[in-house]
Amino acid sequence: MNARDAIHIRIYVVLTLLGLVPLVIVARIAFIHLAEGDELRAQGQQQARSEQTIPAMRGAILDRNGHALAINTAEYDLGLDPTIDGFAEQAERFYAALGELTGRSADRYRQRVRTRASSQYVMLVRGLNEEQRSTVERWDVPGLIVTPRFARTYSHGTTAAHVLGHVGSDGQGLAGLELRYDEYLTGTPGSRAVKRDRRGRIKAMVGGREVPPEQGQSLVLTIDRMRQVALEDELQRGVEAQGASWGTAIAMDPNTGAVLAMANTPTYNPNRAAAYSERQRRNRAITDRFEPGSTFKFVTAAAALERDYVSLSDTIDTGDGWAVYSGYTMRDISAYGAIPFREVLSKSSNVGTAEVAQRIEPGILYQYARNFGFTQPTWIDLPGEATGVVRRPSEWSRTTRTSMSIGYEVAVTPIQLLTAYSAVANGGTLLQPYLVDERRNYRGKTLWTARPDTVRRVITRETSRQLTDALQDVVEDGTATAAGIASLPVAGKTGTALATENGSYVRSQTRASFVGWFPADDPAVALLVLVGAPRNGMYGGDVAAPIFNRIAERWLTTLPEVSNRMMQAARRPDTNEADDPGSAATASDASSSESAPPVAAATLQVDDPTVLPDFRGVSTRRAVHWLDAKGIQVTLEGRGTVVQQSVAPGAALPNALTLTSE
Amino acid sequence: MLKLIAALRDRFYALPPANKYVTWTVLVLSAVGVVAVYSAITFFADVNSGGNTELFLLRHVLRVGIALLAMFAMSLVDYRLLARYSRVLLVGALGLLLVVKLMGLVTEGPARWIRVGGVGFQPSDLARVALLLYVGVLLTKKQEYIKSFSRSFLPVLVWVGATVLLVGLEDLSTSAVMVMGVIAMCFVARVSATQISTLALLGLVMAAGLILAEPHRAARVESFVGVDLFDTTDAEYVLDEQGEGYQARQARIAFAMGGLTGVGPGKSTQRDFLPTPYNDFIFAIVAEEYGLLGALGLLFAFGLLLFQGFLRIARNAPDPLGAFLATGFTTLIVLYGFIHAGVSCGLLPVTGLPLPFVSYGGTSMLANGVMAGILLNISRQTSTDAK
Repeated sequence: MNARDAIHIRIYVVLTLLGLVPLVIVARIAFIHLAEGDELRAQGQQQARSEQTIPAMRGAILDRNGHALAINTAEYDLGLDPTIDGFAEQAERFYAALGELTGRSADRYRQRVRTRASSQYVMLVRGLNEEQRSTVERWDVPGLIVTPRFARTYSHGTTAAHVLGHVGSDGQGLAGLELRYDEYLTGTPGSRAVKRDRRGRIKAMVGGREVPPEQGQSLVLTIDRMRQVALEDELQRGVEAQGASWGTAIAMDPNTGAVLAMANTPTYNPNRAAAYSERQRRNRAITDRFEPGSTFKFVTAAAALERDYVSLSDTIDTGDGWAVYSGYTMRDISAYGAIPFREVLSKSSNVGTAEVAQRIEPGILYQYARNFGFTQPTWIDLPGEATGVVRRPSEWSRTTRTSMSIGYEVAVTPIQLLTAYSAVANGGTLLQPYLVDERRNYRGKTLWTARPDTVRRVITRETSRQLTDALQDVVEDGTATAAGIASLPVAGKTGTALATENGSYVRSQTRASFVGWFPADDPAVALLVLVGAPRNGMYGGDVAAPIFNRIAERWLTTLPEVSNRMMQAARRPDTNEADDPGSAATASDASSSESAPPVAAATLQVDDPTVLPDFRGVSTRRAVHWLDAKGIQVTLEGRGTVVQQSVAPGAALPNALTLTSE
Repeated sequence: MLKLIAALRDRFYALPPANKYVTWTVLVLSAVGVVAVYSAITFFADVNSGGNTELFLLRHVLRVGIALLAMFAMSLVDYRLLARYSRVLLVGALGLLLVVKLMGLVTEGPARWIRVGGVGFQPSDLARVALLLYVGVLLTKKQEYIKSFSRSFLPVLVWVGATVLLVGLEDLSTSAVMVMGVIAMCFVARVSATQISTLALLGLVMAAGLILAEPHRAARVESFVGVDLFDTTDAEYVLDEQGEGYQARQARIAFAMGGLTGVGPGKSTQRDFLPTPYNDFIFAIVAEEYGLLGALGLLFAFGLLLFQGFLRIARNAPDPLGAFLATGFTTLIVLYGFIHAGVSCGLLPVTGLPLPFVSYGGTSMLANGVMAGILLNISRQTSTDAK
């Protein structure tokens, strides 16, 4: 065998060996396909795909006129992957710039990056606004991750804060309506199939499955923003004027149970809820129990009148203004002697009320307290409502009957008290208060409408009429004259309760309250004002009643039927509001006012409320009152009696009007 | 200049034709490479140059052009002329390797690159060509006393040892393939099989030593075997998502996703999950985009190179030098291809070997072009009638 042949043979040997290699490879590939194929394919498809959630937008909260109280705005979270090439060089400059942008120290962000939990991601700033976001993006720092999200904005700050509540950092409801209606507001997030690579970067997938999010529902409230603002203003002002530490006011439509406004002071701004204390965020209107004092006497009166233990005209002997029951002395503010039961209520005589209560069977008194809803929550659509405490007769001590008759040894919440008064106002029916009138989908279609819900009939119409009568006296010449509104019958009751501190009653911790409604005979608004620990006054009639009055006065312009009625009442000289200086003019020369402008201020003549009346000869004050109620903007030139009006009488109602006077 | 071109042209026409199969196979592989790299580099380009894939494509096409030009040029240069300067070439290549080593010592990092005017250059690729060339020359010279260990095999061992030392410690896979090429050549040059076996055994022992010494290499083997073999390795490294086991699995997923006919050109998803899909795993990308047929096609191309290189070129070489060189170079090119494919389908532990003529990478492309050129030159001088 020569060398050449040997070489050739060896070439064949090497060739054969090498030629076997691809066969092995082919076998291996075949093995992958046949044995592992399905599993590997599944993994490949699963890892390259990802579901990206499309967040659902939280529903808005609107007032009864569709005015937005809580809305969503776009915010941006800024994250960072510090391992991306090119970040390290810019890191220091970036920290400094970010610190300047957010008003925090650059070190804070340096620290965050250094102590981050995951190697490739760290959250730096939450909640950048649109402008800050574009600034950050202009820096063009590699590794930045900007994620948009919806943020909750309460467009009017503190307005209706306790009603609306607030949300947490992930948009979940934490208090108020935001919590109670969270499931409706939240909606259902959608999803979108996307492509993903090994760095977790997301790319759009053409033809990928997409499930659109179901946007959250919007709530339309029973609250009117303007009235709410007026109520908050007056409550705040009143509480400050009295040097009180807190206050609560609730207004309700006594015919339906719709809450028209609800406020507490101190209050908070739900846009920055975390910055406030628990005390400021608490909705006292539904969570605070207090001993109501005299405002509770209506329960005693209702029981006594309806079960014929007494009539309004029956004389009750209140003696020298004090009486002893089971060793405890009960006092009145002054000695009233023998007075009719009607006056017992209007003068708020404790002795007289207790005297009547002595005649009532314990079971009956308890039954009325229970029927007025004090042993149950009102089931208002807010979270965290407290229940009143009314002891059963079997648990009563010897003093309970008399104490309870004047509002001690019981505890109620403001909303319970107002709901009970509404029952008296509307003719005897206890209603379930509510705040949400409608739920709408995000396109504005109504999905659900609230229906006023009757809990039970508590008293007869007749008893209601009698009680209203008595409570009207309270305002007209009783303890609450400060609550009175000119030309309008108001019914209500004051309460002055000493609160306990360390187990004994102290004067410094008074709860001054007034609960009432107007107009007394055709109620439109029931209103409760409760002031805690006032320092400049003590009695409900001095502290709470004036606040009631100012709120009511401001609200009248938004209640056209009520203010119309007022004007008609003012025109009639035989009504008991005739002493109002605005209605001093007599109706005697009503006919002559049409022919020539009279010298003396005349009564406003309204024959058809849809056309403009003749204001000439009428006082500007009266004219403005009427126009305000119609929502017409008035410009005044001069004061006193109107001599000229810019739009002729009998014309259709204009948007604006100028009145000239001497 | 014109004269030179004219001279080259005359020379080209004067020469007998080169092996058509090898030429066409290389051209087809290059074309496939351009398409596959264009697709595979998307992710890398996204990350590194903001999605400018065309920039990388252009760079690759340029390199392919240079490699093909080198192949054409080398096919014109008589390999015997080249053989005369082979010793100088090898010493020069080793010198460059030494320079890289020293530079690496200075910069305290593993260095495989020399940068000349912004163009990176890997001397190990030059060294493997030079070494095979010179070993071929040595073996030819010593054909008279080829069975003698001290006179013929020892000098070969010395040069191989020197090169392996300079290339090998960091780039074990390159060294290994290089040594296999040398072994094939020695075997064909009638070196005693016992001596070669001893050398191979020694090489294995040395490789095992290196593997044990370096935890990350050991981990590669472990993750391939799937068992924690060595105490020195970090278990975490084996299980790491981005680690070797992950890469091997992702490559296998590419095969599975490809099925019989593939997902279609440019539609690979695994390129987003495989590290350096345009280089170390281009075979897997082709298998995904063109399916089993694509993978078989590539293997067939290398098989064709193997058969043409051995049966047409080596066997019919005009002299022993030609036969040895053809054997060595064919083995080197084909082994790169097979090992790359073997790694891709999980047959071998993960190594960073490129697929000749297909993968993205400048120097290796050039080296393969040069080797193919030498093959073609030998094929021009075959004596089909010289029996």
